Amino acid sequence: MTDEEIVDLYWQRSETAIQATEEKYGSYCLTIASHMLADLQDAEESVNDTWLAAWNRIPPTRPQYLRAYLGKLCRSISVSRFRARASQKRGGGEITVALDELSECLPAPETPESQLELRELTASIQRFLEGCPKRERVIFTARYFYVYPIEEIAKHLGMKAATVRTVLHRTRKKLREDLEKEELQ
Amino acid sequence: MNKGQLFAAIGDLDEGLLEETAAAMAQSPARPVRPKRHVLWIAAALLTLLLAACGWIAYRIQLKEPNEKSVYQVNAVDWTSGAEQRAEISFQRAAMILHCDTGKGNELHGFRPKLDVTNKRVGVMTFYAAIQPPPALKPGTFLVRYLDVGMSGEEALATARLSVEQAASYYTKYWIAEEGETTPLLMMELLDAPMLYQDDLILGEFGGEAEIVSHWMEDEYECLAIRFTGEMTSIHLFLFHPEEQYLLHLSADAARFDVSDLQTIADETEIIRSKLYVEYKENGTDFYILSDPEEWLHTEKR
Repeated sequence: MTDEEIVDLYWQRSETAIQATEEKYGSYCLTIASHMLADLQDAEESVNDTWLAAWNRIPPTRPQYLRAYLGKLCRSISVSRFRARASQKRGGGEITVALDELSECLPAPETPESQLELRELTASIQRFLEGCPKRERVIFTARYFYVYPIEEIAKHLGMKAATVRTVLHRTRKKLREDLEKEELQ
Repeated sequence: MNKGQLFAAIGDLDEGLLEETAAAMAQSPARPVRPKRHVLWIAAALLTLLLAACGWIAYRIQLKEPNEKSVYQVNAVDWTSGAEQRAEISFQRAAMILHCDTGKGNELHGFRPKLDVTNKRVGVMTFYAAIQPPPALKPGTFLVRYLDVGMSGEEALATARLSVEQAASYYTKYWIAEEGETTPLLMMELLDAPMLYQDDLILGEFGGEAEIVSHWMEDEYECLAIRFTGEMTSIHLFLFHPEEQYLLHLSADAARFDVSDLQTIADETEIIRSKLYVEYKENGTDFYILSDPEEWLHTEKR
């Protein structure tokens, strides 16, 4: 089934959309979630949450690249799960509850200003990556968006792990210079 | 900005860009990465192949049929490995060691006396010490060695049953055919065929890499034009006699001089005296001979 057909099923509110998505992109999303969480049970839960999120967002959204869209959702959900798990590990129990209650006194963490800053930062990184050679772009996003281990990136791209590390190091350095330059402007 | 914000910003990248990466990563591995446990097996297999190739070459040299065409393998010389041993061998073979100012040493390149294959004692000064010193050689040190000690160029020609003119004609023909003009033949020596494989005797003299650029049969000789790429690029001609198993080396590139001309060199190069060298006088000429190569190398290493 093509991506367009699957998206059409979502728009028709047909539950087979989820089944089709799982068949086509189940292992893809599980890979992303596993990279982020390193726990199969947590990863599977993240993937299930991804299907639910997709169901809730399509429509009105009509993703142009379904695979990348699901990847973004899965990554975001896995990051939230990772934070929740880290928070539990730090204390859990009553102290976590107390801290959560206190956090209500703090100003909203996501103010319109902070969201604007984040969007600008995303746009800067986007511009930077578009200016990079394809190989650097793919290695960078594979590592920092999909959180692939370096050895796996090397294997898929037919490179040595040391080369991937070097490319990442250079790209990070260039990105830093680029962001510093933009800040100055 | 902190790393969390950066990570979050990356999470919101354009889907087109992410799709590009997802597609690249979805492909099967471009080159299977071999499990590490196989590396030793592969290395062992390669070593076996290499040994078999070396054995085959040795066999071909020893058991060559008359007039059978042979192909020489001239290997690259790696100056970075075994430099100390090479320097030590060079010192052992050196008949004379001069130490002088590097700039003055470079001027010696212009010092090219006539071809004198009939002289009993001709020498070759190895200039690489001045231009591109191997790591273990002290800049400004020149090693002088006599070629064919015990066999003069004249004897070499007698062995090859060639006259000077005949030897030169092989050389001239090659250059006329390749370049349209020739260079004077300044050097000739007779070598055992296996010596072509020994870095220190031929390749070591020039350094760098060597490759066969031309290979043909002429009269009873198998002719090889070999390009040496080291401190300078030069082509040398080797005539191999398959039945008698000797190798004539013809070249215009080695600076040659008669021993009597060393006086001129000594006069013109402002020899620097060093405590590592002991003065040696012969016919009123100052020579400086290395007192102890081990000590010299040891001193350099410190």
